[in-house]
Amino acid sequence: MSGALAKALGLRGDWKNVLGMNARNARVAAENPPGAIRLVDSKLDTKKVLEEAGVPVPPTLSVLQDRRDLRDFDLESLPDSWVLKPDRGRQGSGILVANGQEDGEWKSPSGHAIGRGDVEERLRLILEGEFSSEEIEHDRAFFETLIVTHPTLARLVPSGLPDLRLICYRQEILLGMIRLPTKQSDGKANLHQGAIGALVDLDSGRVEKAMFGHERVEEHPDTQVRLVGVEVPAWEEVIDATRSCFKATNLGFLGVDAVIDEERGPLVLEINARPGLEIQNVAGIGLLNLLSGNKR
Amino acid sequence: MVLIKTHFVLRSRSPRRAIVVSIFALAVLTLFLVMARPATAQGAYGSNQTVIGGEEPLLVSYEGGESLEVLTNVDTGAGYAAIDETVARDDLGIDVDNPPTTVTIQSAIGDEERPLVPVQIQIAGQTLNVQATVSDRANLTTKMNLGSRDLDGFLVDVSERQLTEPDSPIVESYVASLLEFPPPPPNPALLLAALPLAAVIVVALRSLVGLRTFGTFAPVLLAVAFVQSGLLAGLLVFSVMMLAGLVLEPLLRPLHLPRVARLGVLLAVVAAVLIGASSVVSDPGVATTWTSAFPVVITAIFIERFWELWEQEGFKEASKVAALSLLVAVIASPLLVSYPVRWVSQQAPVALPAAGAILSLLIGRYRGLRLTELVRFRRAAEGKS
Repeated sequence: MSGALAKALGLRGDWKNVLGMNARNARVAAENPPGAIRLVDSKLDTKKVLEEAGVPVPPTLSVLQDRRDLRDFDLESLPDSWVLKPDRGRQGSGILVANGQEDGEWKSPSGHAIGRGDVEERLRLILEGEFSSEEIEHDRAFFETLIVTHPTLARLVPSGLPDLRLICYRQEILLGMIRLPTKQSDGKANLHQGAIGALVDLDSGRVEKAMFGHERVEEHPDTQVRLVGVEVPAWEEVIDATRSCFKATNLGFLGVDAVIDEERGPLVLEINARPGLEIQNVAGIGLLNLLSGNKR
Repeated sequence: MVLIKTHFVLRSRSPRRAIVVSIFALAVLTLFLVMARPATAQGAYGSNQTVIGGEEPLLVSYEGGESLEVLTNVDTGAGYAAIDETVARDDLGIDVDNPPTTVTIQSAIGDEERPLVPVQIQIAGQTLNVQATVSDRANLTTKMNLGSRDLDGFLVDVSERQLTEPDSPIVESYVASLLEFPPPPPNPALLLAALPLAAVIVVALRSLVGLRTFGTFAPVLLAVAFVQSGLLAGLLVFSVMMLAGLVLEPLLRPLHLPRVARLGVLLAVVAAVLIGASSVVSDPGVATTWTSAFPVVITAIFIERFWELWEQEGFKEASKVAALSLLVAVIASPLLVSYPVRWVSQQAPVALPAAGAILSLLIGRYRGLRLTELVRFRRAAEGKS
């Protein structure tokens, strides 16, 4: 049915397998129980169930529940580098990153100074729900260990954190890609903002092909490092961690976001109950065929 | 019960057929609604008399001077016609302090002597010479009143409004009246009935075309505001309010207000701009319509969403979504006042919400690709390379 419109308009290509938003929303509603969606909307709750299921996640340094926690919080207890996140932030908003300390002030990856006042201000805003979905007026804030990208992946990009995205449906991993920040994406791994999407072969863990904007590329436009053929480190562990996410979250249709830390190896950052569909462009194939159980 | 049945019918049909049917139905309906013209509106009453509603526009002039279009109230309980003092004196140039004759009117507050002036009116294509009393109607949107003395040959249906134009017994196009300033005030019952139909447009643009708007039904509420204020005036006021909000927002940012407080401030600014704009307009009727109709809260939310999107996805995307939201409102507003919608809402008021529900249901069942996804996923359709 997906191809009906394309066919009516006389478009060429394999449109009948392309999964659109309408069909995705229907699948999400059918496969993901409301309770499970609520769970993964909270990063902290997700981390808890993933940890219990033995899935590696970034270590939490401290959690702030309310203003009293903020008053009692000792900023001195923080290490030189950390990440501050809202529990229910909208699309990565509200995140503050410190990757070094100098003269009693932290430094952001772009070199800006982060004073104690800046951290307190950000904490207050997070607790007030400034970065969270509209329905809530209160949120939790938490500090995490800063992830240091595995050198194999770090050398591919000018800056920023490359991350893995795996799309899963009914206990099966369908497609996996690695998202690589570019200068255009300003260090962010979001394809809409100009990051590169590189399809990873599920069996070998090697990059098959890459897409920048809507164009196919073989190498990273900023670093000129060849992407096709690069092997993602610890791929077997990534697959295992992803498989453990199905049962832990009780979601039938999900996107798993993971990173590869230099020391700790694969870590699951968050689970998405409404997985993005951009991976179809990166793969050059539609998801519908895969959803019906046909292997690639 | 009806819903369950419809659901069942859709399930048993082939999905492709449902898509084709719903798109086709929507296209035909939209075309029909906007293009259609009343052919036999008058014939429906089975009489040779011209039918007028409880409120009609007419042209009035004095001693062959320039004619002025005013809205008149039609009151079969009154005898003499009446005209507003200010209109008579300032617009028509009648010397109301030295009238040719006066007449004693009996009313609830006792007998009152009023000036009586001869004016010429054109209503529903007929020209009449009318003796009108002069009274103060400054606070009314209808600057004249027609009574039984002058209604010979007319059939009055008080359940209707604005069935005619001064030079014609039928209204050529309500849609065109949107471009007038000020537009004829719409019928609230009609708006209520037509609202679900306008919502269908939003549903279709989302699920079939894939356009993004601020808030799901905010554009529809904006369309209602446009109907009440007139399209051009509405767009102007809305733009000014948006602009004020956009200028203000960066000044608010450094204060680090929580979102609720920021929305509160935006709301106050938008309201202030609106009050300012309506005080510039001399017509009290228009000013009242604006202040009561304009969705201040929705405008404030538009501004807030605009900034949020600008921050997250850049100015280009935010402007695109803003433009699309406005476009939906502009498409929906003529539909709300189009003749067929008015006609159906008067003949069978429940038909429009019912049609809205069924169409939304049909469109909601569509699981295929949205039109814009044919561009978005063009790489995915390439197949294995």
